[in-house]
Amino acid sequence: MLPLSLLNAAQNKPMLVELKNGETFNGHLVNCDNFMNITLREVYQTNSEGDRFWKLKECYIRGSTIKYLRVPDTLLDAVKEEQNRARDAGRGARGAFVSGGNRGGRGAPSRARGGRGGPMRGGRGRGRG
Amino acid sequence: MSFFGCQTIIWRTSGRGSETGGAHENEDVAVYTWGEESYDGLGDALLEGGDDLNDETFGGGGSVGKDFDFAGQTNLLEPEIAQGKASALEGARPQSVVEQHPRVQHSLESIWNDKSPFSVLPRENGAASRREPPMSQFSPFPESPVLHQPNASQGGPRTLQEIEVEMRAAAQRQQNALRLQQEEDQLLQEQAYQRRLAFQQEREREQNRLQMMQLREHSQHQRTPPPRMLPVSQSPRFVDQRQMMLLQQQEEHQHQLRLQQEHLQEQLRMEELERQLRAQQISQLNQGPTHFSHRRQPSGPTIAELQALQQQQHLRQRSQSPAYRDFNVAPQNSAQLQQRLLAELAQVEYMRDFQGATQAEQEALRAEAMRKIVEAERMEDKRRRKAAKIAHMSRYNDLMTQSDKDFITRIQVSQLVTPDPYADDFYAQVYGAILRSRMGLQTQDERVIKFGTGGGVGLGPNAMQRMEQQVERIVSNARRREEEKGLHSLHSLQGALGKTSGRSYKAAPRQLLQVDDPSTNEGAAKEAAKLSHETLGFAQTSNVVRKDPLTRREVLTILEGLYDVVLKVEQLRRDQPNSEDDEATREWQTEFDDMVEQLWDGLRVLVPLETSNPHPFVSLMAPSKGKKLLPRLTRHIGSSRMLTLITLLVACFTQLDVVRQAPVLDGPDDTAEYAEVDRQTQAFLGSVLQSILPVVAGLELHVVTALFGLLIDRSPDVADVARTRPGLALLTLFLSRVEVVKQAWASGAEAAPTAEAALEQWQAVFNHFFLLLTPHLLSLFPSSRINGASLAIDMLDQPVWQFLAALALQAVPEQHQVLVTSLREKVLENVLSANKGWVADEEERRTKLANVDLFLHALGLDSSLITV
Repeated sequence: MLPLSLLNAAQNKPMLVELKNGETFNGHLVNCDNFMNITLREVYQTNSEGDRFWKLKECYIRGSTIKYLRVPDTLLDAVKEEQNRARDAGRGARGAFVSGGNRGGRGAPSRARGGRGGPMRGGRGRGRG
Repeated sequence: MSFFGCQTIIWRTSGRGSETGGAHENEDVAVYTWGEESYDGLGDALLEGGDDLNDETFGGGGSVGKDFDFAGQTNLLEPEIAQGKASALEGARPQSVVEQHPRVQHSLESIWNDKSPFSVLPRENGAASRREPPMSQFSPFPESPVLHQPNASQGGPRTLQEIEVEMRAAAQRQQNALRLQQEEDQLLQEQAYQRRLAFQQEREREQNRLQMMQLREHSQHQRTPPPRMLPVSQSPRFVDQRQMMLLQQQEEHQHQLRLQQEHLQEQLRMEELERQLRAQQISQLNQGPTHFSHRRQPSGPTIAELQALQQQQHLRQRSQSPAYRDFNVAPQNSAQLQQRLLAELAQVEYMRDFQGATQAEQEALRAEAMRKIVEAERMEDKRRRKAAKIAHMSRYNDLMTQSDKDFITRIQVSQLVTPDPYADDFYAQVYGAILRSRMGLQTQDERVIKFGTGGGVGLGPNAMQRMEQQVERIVSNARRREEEKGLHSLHSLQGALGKTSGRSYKAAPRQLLQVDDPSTNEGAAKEAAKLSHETLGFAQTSNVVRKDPLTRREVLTILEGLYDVVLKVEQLRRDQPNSEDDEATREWQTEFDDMVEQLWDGLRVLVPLETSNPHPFVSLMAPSKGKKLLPRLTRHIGSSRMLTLITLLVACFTQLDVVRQAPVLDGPDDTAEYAEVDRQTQAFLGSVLQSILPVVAGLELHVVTALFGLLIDRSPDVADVARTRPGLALLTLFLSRVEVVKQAWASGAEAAPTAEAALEQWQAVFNHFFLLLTPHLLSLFPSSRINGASLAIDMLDQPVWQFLAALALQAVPEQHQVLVTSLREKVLENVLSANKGWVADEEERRTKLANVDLFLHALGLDSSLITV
């Protein structure tokens, strides 16, 4: 999973953003883009010394100024889960592909496979049977 | 179990040492321990008599009558007996699942020796005698009593009935007593006692019966029943109870077996460890530091090996993912440990016996072994905790797969890869330009720095450099051609220094230069003066405003402004648009010219000479910043303006800080002042002179003459100027230029129409200069001036020698004479010191000789010719 895709998955989740100048922003992610520019809502901003605080309803942060983002563990759990599921599903689908004839493309949608796999399956079934 | 027929019971309760026969308790089979020590052998000593009736007893002859119909007899007495039996059974049954009391007897015969107060064993015969009569009925030998005691038998039925009653009463009493006791016991003790009691009662009864039997038989032998026969009495009446007992015993036995096994295993481990320890010690004593593999023990790995194993595990722990391995290895290790320990049990015992260790030692070793076990457990514990922590920390690992990481890496690398690494590097470009300007083209042309043109051109930066060089060469050639073939040189200088303004020449012109040297050739001198005057221009008018010299602050401000403009100009140069695009080019050109004007104005070159002392331009050149700025600035200024600048510089030469402060350099060289002046001088020589050098190198003779004359005239004492390094450099520059021009004319490369006149002028000025300088020739040398022996004195002299060489080149023979006479001392001094080895090292010697040679070669001589 690439970092930007993780960020996209984190929409509407709370997160902490630290900038290169040391300021931290705690808020919920509204949106993000390919440059990692992000908009947050209900933001608590802290300066780099950690002694001044502001509350902002919404804010926009330029991606190039971000040092890092911290996301909640629940999101990571969910992502990990999804990854595992996808991997297993991919393995299953790929296994079926291999046995059903290599189509030269991985990750072909199951719908297509269902459509074309029927007669194939039948044929193969005969072979296997 | 017993290996090799030896005792294998390891631990026993202390109080029973004498009693035990070593047999396992709760064995459900009779254990014959004929070889045991507690066997007193009395059985063997027994003289058996009374075997007469054995046949009858054991059914050797005679018919089997109803005498043995116990069941029948039992049924007669059924209700009472059934009660008694039931109660007894009740007493027995609740005791089924019991853990046998630890104080229970180890062997069956020791029951009889039970000294506990709860025992109902008859300690005195009196207790038994009461029970004798009631037991008679159940004796298996009714015939014998009948036979042997007819009297009793006559009164038999009656007595029997009495006996019956008595028995029943006794039984009831017993039952009551039993119940009470049971209640008590259940309150206080475990049920093992009850069982034992019942058991004992049984035995009592049997014993009584037997005793009765014995009495009836008139048996005189106080025979203790064969120990093993009693409990396995064939009496069917007690079969159930017996079976219950057996079952319970079996359960107990199993349970205890388990317990014992655990104890045993621990013991085995300890023993094993002890043994290993001892073995290790022994082997160490025998063999010194032993390698673990060289073990004489027949057993498996020693403690040390185990420890080594553990250490290996530790190492593996640190190197790889510890948790995983740890979990796998540790339990295996303990299992292996246990197995090994169990396997070593017998050997442990064997070894112990052999080694005959004392109790105390054993204890100590055991304690040590215990400690080790505890420690091992703790280590395992720690490992487990660490593994858990690591697992917790790394629970979100591998969200990015390796392919993801490679993808990102590829993108990042692709951003870095370029065909020409110096394409975007400003400093590399400038560095290249500097190198090229030093090595490639000597001409001072604008180095155009172009960016982004690397793409589309093969061979990277070199190609760009080469192309630029070619372009510059073409341009400079064209320019030179134009200059030569174009306007007359004089015309080209027309108005170079600005317009004349104000008064005309004719009406008493304000003489700028006061040339009053009667010894010089008037004509030539005048002309020279005139020329210099001309070149300088009549910028001086009466309405010149005399100002204060620029303050340092003003100077710095102006310099900063100039720097800004220079940067803008340079940037403009880089952004020079395509020449095909007329519109943009025109725009650019206007902008560029504008900038250059700003530069020129900023330099204040055109400010009248008399404005201030020092002249503003001179003030601007005072900080090293200004000196360093000049070359950058002059790159963009046209050569005519450059000439103006040079003229100004020459005119105000003595105002220059480096010239004024030059005497400091003759003093001690460790002061801050010295350092500062030195720095400034270096900067001047490196920047300012360098920048005018190319211009001078392109000057015409008469211009040089004019400048030379100007310098002489403007300086109160030209010798002073010559004593300064900048001055010396400048003079040398001029002289060498003249020489070059002369040579060029002589070789006929460039013909000049005014050569004669110019030469004459030059010579005049030169002679003038020479005359001025001659008395001070020796003082030119820093070595003569400086009192202390400076380290690089010869290096300091070198420029002087160079100057003198240049001078000599220009000099006529008479002047040569003068030179030689004046410098003879110096020359000789150098040559002698070089030849005679008065010098410190080879370097110095060579330098001295070189210096001298410089001069002598100009004269057409050589140092080797001098023989002293």
